Amino acid sequence: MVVKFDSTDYNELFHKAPCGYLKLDAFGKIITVNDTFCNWLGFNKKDLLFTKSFQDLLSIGGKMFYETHFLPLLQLRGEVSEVNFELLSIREKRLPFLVNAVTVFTDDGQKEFNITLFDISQRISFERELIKAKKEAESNAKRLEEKNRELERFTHIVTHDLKSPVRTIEGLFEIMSKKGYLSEEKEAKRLQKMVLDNLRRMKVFIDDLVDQAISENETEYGKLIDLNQICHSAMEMLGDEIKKDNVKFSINPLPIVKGNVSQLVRLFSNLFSNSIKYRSERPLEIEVSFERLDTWAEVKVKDNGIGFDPEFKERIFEYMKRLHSHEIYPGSGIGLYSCKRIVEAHGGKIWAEGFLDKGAVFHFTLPLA
Amino acid sequence: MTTKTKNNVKITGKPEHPTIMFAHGYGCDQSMWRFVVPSFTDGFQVITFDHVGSGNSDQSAYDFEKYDSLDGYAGDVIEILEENGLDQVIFIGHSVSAMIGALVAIKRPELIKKLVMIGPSPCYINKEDYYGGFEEKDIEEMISTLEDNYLGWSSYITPVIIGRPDKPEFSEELNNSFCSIRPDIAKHFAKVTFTSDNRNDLSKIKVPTLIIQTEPDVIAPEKVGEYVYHQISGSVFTKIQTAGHCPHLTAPELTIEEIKKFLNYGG
Repeated sequence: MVVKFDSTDYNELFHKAPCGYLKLDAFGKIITVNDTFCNWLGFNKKDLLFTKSFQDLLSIGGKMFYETHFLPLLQLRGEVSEVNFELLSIREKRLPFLVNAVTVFTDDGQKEFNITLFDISQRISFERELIKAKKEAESNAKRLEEKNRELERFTHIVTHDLKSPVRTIEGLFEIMSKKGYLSEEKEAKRLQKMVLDNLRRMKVFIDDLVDQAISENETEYGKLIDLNQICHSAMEMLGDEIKKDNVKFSINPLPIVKGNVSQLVRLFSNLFSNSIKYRSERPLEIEVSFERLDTWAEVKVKDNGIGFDPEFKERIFEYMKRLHSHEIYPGSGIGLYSCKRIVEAHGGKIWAEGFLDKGAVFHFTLPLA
Repeated sequence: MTTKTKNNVKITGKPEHPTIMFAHGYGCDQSMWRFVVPSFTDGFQVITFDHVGSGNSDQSAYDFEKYDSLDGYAGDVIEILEENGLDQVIFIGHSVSAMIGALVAIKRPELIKKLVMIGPSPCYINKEDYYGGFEEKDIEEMISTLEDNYLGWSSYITPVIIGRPDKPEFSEELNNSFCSIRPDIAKHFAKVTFTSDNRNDLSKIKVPTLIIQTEPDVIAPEKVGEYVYHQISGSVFTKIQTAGHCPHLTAPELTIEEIKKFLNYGG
């Protein structure tokens, strides 16, 4: 079938188009305009043609944007798309439009601009909501960041200030004991032991808090790090404990990763001392290995200790959450939480597998170099 | 970091000839000058650059404190000139850069030999008996128009090269960041530009100055141009028969002609 399309049809296509359509001369004067546009803004065609320029119809903010962004782009690039303008109707009502424009040239080389406008009154209110929400989110994030920094500073000060009086008390207590100032009575001895136990708990607690505070300076995660060395540094740090308990390590070759040295040493030493703390009657064996997963290394630290009830596999990483009482296993509940923070700061994940009395395996991922 | 990368400095023309520096206004970058620059490369050494935050400048160098006043931008112009060992330069500044050039001419008169101000405004907001053309709320409205156009900005980043049948020499490759600007910088620069008040600096300008005015110009109305003219003693005022704030885009030939006349250069 041959479709005939003559100038009357084009005329209809132009004037009844579901968008505003106009043509401006090189100076921005309106030289052609369709019915849709005139109806939307309530103008008579003769009010616009050769009398008004496009920017006369813009709100003041729009005029400024037109002069500083829209026109330079249209002049230099020959087209501008998806610009948001508010136009003023004949009754001075503001109507939002999405505007596209192209530069064309007449046969005698004159520059003209073709402009289409789409009504976006519904979309704009949605967009404004989005902008508002984005602004709110940004200011919340900023506030949170400040709060976090404050909190880090606070932890830092508190832990450092608490450390020395606790040490002093412990020292004084020892002196008193050496000099025989303490009572040898049964009930007194029980109480003295409780005092000492509590002091030690406090010391462990403070040390862990210090470790946990990833300091503000530790923001460098791009260093190339040999995990074999990290593993050995961590073992050296725990030297006495390892010797005392005769821990058997088997360390398989480990990869080079990207990260932060002191944090990764802390990660391994926390995991090792966790294994040591929760060892069973069996001689403790710790095995470290890794698997390559695309651009990530999944490191496994496996022990044959007391393990844990799989039900608690998430809970063990929570802040100050502990599965055991202080009397059985002293600790602060910060060690594994700290591991989680370190791994996550490296962009990785940490998780654990365990069964009661069957040992535990800690998995974590780090970015490969 | 050198100003070459920080400000995307481009030097063309004849090095042995006097230097002419073109500074773009708010909203675009040095490509604003592409219709004008070729007329000067034969008789001058030509320097164009992008203000930090605009165009292809190093956006990471945008320091919200430094650029919280026009002095920050004036400092950059001085740095560019010093780094290239230049003085006695003809400075052509559009819009906000007209004032930036004025600040340089006041601070370091030996650097600027002549000043051309296209569409200058020392103060955009009306104050008591001063007419700047805008109320404070208008500036806020402009900022919100900018916000409504975040989306539009991201689309500018895609380069589209349109052939220019009338001027084939300009169909050169446009770079990705053509007239693009980070939304947060756009907002800050707009605020700094349109809330600046440098009226008291005008009388301190001692170098020969040309003011180019268009009619109508929404951003810098004729009344403002005349104010600038009356404040700068010995300045020259000329009106170009074209509409809009960017005569170097809409009427480059007339703009070139006025600049040449002022410099006594060519015909």
